[in-house]
Amino acid sequence: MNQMDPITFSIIRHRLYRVVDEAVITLKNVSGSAITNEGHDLMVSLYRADGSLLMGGVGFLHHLTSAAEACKAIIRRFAGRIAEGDVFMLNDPYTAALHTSDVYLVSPIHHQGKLVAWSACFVHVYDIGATNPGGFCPDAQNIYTEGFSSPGMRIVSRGEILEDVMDTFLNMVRSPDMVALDINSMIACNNVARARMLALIEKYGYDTVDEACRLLIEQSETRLRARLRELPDGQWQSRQYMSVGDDTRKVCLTMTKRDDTLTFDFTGSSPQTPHSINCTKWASLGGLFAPLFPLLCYDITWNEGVIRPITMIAPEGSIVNCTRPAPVSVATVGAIQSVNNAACSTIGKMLNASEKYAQEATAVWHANHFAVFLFGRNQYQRQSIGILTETFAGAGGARSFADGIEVGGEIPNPISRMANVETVENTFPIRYLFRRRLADSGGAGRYRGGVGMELAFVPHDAPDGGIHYVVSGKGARFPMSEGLGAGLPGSPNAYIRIKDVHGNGSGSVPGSPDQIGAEIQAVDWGVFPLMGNDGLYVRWNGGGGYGDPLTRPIAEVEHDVISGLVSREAANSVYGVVMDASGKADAVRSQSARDAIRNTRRQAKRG
Amino acid sequence: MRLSNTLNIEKHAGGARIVCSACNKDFAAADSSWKQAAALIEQPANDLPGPYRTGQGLLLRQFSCPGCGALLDTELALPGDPYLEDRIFL
Repeated sequence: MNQMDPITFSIIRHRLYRVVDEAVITLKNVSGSAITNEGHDLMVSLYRADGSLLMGGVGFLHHLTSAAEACKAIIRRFAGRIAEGDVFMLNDPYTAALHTSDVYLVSPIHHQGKLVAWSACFVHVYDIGATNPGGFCPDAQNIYTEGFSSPGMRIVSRGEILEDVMDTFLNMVRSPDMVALDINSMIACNNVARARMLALIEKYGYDTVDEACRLLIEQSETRLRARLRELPDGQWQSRQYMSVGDDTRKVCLTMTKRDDTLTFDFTGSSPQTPHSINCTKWASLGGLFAPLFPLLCYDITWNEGVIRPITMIAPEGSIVNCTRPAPVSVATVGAIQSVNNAACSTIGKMLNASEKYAQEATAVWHANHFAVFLFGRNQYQRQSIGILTETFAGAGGARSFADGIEVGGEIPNPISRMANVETVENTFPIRYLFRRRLADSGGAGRYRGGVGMELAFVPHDAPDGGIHYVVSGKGARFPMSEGLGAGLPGSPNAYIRIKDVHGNGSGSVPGSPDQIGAEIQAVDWGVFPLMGNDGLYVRWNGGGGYGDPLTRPIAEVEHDVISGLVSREAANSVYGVVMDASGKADAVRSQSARDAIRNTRRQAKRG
Repeated sequence: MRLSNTLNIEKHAGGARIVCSACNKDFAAADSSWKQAAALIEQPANDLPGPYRTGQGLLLRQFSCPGCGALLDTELALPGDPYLEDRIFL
């Protein structure tokens, strides 16, 4: 903090936060997509003139570093041809993006004719013209079947939309009116960011703002390096499994902390797969930073300074650094999310090894998005495409001092949320049978992982007799929310097609999928009908637990059982708590049960 | 010093050792794998109560203290996959 008045510096820093906040509000208000304005699958950030991250915003944090690379790719491609009022689109995963449907719009910010900054944002557009509607593409064979993809193109020139370019893009997607609204929302967002940045510069002068930005990055680097020096040097490992059908892959991570640096090494991860769960190196980088920003930098501005102490090793040709033309459309809920989970796990372990920072440690949160996209003609005779935003509802991992938050969101998106049932029913011709918390889904522990949920719905008032859905459920066979410090993992997801729903789902609320209909079928990957008398049941993972379940106070387990968050069976076999006929915990029998479990452990073979 | 909430590292004249934080049972040198000396229960993850319908063969490994029976760490693994190893550099 040399030379600059600290009050001026602080004001400019907070104004930068507010610039991003206002741009996010604009994005949400203009966009018409539930995935954006209900689920908050979005991101806005500010970048320096060279494309380096200046002020990371909220939304999906995987994008902060990838959008920086998008700015740099545009700078390289359009060198000497970037004008005031231009807007560029980029969504090629092999250039910078995470997958084709997360479209970046990057806008240069000029002051008195000089390029001084960039605003970049993304939304998951309504459709991108991939083989499957909505962008997640289990049927993809390669990147060429995953829709429109650009390594960078100008869509607005000096404030004028290039209609021929825009029309060409919109000609290649489903529901072009909705996609156009997505694009317009991002243009509006960047316009607001640019206007507010220029107002800031007008007030304080370019030199002062530029110096504050430089110092802000320097401050973040200094603070993160200082924090790393406070943490123990060491090495921590994590492993995530994924599968598509019988094809099982894994993401392996060894995180090494030495002095004031962190290295994330993914050596040992599986080779890239023919399925679209791969991710590119830019996506892996974003995936590891998504938990790092909030877990290690909760009080540090998220910018280039945070990136400098970090190194990533991702073997080329692996599932975390695939080579073109491998398909990647499911990456954000595939390899990227596993990278994110593994990084969350190893960072949690590192914090858990520190006397000073153990209180900050957390098990893995909501580790498995369920990308279920519905599509078809709705009750208003319009074609509708959209994700079940419940995937953003998540579940909190247990902390070292408290249970995970039930249906508590996720680490990589601090503002994630789900739409209410009525909003979904107003968008699609469906009727929910239930949407509720899921017992035993949170990983057991001294502190229990937050529970996930389960839902089921049937077609309702559908002009075509129903709709269809795309499932990209790559992790249904593997729990992915790892526990921490002897905590158990949260439960895995499940996707179940129900045939011959009893009484069209009317009457009492069913307790389980097999009570809903006559036949159930697991449907993890592909396109399936929700027609006639079909139903769809989905459940999603809970967070990981923390600590030995036998050390959870008996009264807390009793409360969990009474609240319907833990079953009597799990209370007994996992927590060693015996419930009596009246629904109360029997303290004496519980102590005996716990002693018996400990004895069994003691007598087990050596590792 | 702390390795985790369940394990400590104690420094002695003969070198640093990993011990159970509940009962102080000694496991291994700080630069080696303590899991080899822990009591291990491997069970199918499918056996967990509730919605744990996992792939065949997936194992939940529970490493415990042979001295006091405290659970020290858990991990998921397919058969044959190595233990996850965490260590502190001293």
